[in-house]
Amino acid sequence: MTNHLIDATKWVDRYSDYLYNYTIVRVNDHEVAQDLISETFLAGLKSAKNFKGEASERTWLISILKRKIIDHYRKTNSNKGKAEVRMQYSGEDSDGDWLEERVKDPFDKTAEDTIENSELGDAIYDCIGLLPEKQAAIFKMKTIDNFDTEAICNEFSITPSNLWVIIHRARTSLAQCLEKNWL
Amino acid sequence: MLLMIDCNKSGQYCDKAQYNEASTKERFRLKMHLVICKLCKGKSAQNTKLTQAIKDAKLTTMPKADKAILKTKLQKEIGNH
Repeated sequence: MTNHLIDATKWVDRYSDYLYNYTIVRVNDHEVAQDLISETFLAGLKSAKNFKGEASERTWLISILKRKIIDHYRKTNSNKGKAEVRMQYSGEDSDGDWLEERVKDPFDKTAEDTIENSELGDAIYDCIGLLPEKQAAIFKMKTIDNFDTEAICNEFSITPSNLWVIIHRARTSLAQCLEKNWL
Repeated sequence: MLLMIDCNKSGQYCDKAQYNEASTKERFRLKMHLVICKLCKGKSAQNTKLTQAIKDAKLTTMPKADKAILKTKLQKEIGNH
């Protein structure tokens, strides 16, 4: 029991990126994603004693999150939800730019592409989850957040050649992992 | 020979090239190496495929500020338990 509580302090560091990416491709809204993840963590904390350790912590959290996402859609599709007037703006600046939101989707983008890409994202994140923690952190900073080599070196106090070695190891493991699980 | 690099260097340059951080000289040397080394050519293709996959997946991470908020929230909740 104490074990789980100790682990919970690391949830944000370990799983927030994974859960965020998982949610954002499914609900498409930053605020909603943030709320759902926050709810997931709290629910996880509450039912930590029910966690039998049969699955990995991450799988367990994802299963809670899936429920939350389903609940979210159920709520918005319920009669009460439908009765609410909802206006969605893409950003604060674009308040009222309704015309822009009505532009049709690009014709070469199909539903299959979107589904495939979100599954690919999950697969990549699954593989990133297998990397050592520091390697994963540096790889994500470099590849997903597009930080400068210099900025990352300063943050982790490593030399550029250290960084490239870490990146190389991460990429090699990722390529092998994806080859096995995706292609 | 100035143009010859070993497989180690080739891997390094190839990684840099994935992030558009290889210099012209490095890119040229990499190209030359890939002509003569089948193994590195395969690895390089795989590396490029990975870059493309990551680009296609449009990965995101949770913004740092939001992580901090979530952390304090969770910390508080842990304290209550």
